[in-house]
Amino acid sequence: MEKYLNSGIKAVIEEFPEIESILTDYEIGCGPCMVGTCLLKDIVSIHSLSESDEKELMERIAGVIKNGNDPGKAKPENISKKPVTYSGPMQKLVDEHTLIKRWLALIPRVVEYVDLKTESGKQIIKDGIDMIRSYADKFHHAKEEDILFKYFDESVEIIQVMYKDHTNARALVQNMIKALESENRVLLSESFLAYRDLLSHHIQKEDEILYP
Amino acid sequence: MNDRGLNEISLIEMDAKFVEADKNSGITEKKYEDLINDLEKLIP
Repeated sequence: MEKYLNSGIKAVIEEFPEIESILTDYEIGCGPCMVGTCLLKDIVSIHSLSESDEKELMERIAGVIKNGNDPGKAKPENISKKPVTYSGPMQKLVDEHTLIKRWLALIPRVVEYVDLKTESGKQIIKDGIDMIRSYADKFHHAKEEDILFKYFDESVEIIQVMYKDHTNARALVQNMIKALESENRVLLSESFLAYRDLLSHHIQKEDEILYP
Repeated sequence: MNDRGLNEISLIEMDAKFVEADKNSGITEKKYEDLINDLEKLIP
């Protein structure tokens, strides 16, 4: 067990795939996270689980590693997390996430609702793309890239992943614009939903791992 | 991240840079808050 506690979570999940779903039960998204270098022993403290949830989670993981089965099986009804505190500048970035998350929550309904053949439908999409390019990217991500990340060693993997997420998000915006111009509903839906998925995980990594 | 090497002076400096960046961006948060409010009303 000691060996695994000091291993990167991606390597542990590779050897014991069941652990990914156990972590998901506790709202810990190590599966889709592209970093995966956090050590298993640090996962719990990084994600601020309560003591009882921490104990249960580690018992379930130990069960899989030692005996090959998950003794917990059932998803806990309520996950309690210790309150997270942020410094002033980080709090500002976390607060900006609130508006971005409201837009992300709307996206599935928007892509279902809009009619790209109408001017009003097109305008909704133009406004949504403007929200992403101006508020999420130029206003928010720019502060991270031009200011925040400069205070740290930018070569570390987690910062590189943040940059990569921003680049991937910009590529998806290009697809949204193409979809709008060609009135391609399928591409529009795919690119908006992919953006939603990408940014949701990105914000979770920042709120739970990078900024506290 | 502040626990990983940023001191109080760096945080104050960063905060000031954020304020300056917001000012220079020409973007107001209110505009996008209004947009999201409108969309939430429009799309059930």
